[in-house]
Amino acid sequence: MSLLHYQQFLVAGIVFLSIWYAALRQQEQQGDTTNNSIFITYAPVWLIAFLGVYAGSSVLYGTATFKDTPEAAKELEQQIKEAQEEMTKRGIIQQQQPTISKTK
Amino acid sequence: MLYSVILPTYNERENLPIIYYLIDKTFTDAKLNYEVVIVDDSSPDNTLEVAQAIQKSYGTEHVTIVSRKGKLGLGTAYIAGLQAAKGDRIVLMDADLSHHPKFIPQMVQKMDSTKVDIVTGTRYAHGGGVYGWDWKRKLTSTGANFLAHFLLHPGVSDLTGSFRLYERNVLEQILPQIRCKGYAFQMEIIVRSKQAGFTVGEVGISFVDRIYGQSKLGTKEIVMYVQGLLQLFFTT
Repeated sequence: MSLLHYQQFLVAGIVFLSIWYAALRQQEQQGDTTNNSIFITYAPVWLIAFLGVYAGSSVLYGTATFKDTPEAAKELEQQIKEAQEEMTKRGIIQQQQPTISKTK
Repeated sequence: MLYSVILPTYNERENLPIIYYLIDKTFTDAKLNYEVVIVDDSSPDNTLEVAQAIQKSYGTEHVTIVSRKGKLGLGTAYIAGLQAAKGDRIVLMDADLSHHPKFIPQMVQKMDSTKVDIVTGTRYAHGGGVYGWDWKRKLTSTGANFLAHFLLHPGVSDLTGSFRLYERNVLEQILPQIRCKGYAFQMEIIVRSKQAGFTVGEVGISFVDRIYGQSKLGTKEIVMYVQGLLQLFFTT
């Protein structure tokens, strides 16, 4: 039986914290011999910062590249006229309908 | 193979004849058998009258009407429509012309060739897009989609879209389980379907938003969305 979504996050969190704890212990024992100490000591902060940058840039990129489809709107306006003609002939549209196009 | 298009309507008196014409044209041109099931929630603008005129003109083999006593919500409208539908495959779509039936044959083709149980239209990939959204609306949508993907990893690019083709058995099994309302409702269908082992394919669609100024995205919708997202995060 697979984990629920929040459980998957909990497991990932526990794994991350365990690795971090182990790295901190090792750093404590061996002393501050490498340049990595700032990353190890503040690993959760770095993780959150990374996630924030990833989220922000993904959303901005997605927004900027969101496809516009003006040709779809044009095609639809044309087909609305076509539809209105046919449906008026069939007696489904009774009289001159108010224009459906709503403008900003 | 019969296709049932379920159209929940509320105050769609103007759009209903147009969407019906486009559905009829699409299915006739594609040589596919279809019926449309209109589920009307006692629209104050008398959409029911227009639905009956369409039924009279096109015949009861093509048009079934389910008239409900009041505005009872989308989920139960789909269930009521499904009960009245005779099709083997079901199309769920909006009746307000934001979805164009011309994408249905592409969805059918996808379902036939890849044997997936659900084909969902996507605005975010495979050439899909929108018309009528300003950058703020796009930002909100992209942000919401990112959050849903981060929490739920659905493997589907458009989680909140409501233009989909389903094998009938999927809806019969999944719809009764759905608890969320609003945009999260559409997310929950995909999440629960995938967990039940159903497969999902995608086809790019154009979403034409013509309801300028009448925002379907107020604070209430956003709060409901986050609530629904969290509900799915903790219970699925």
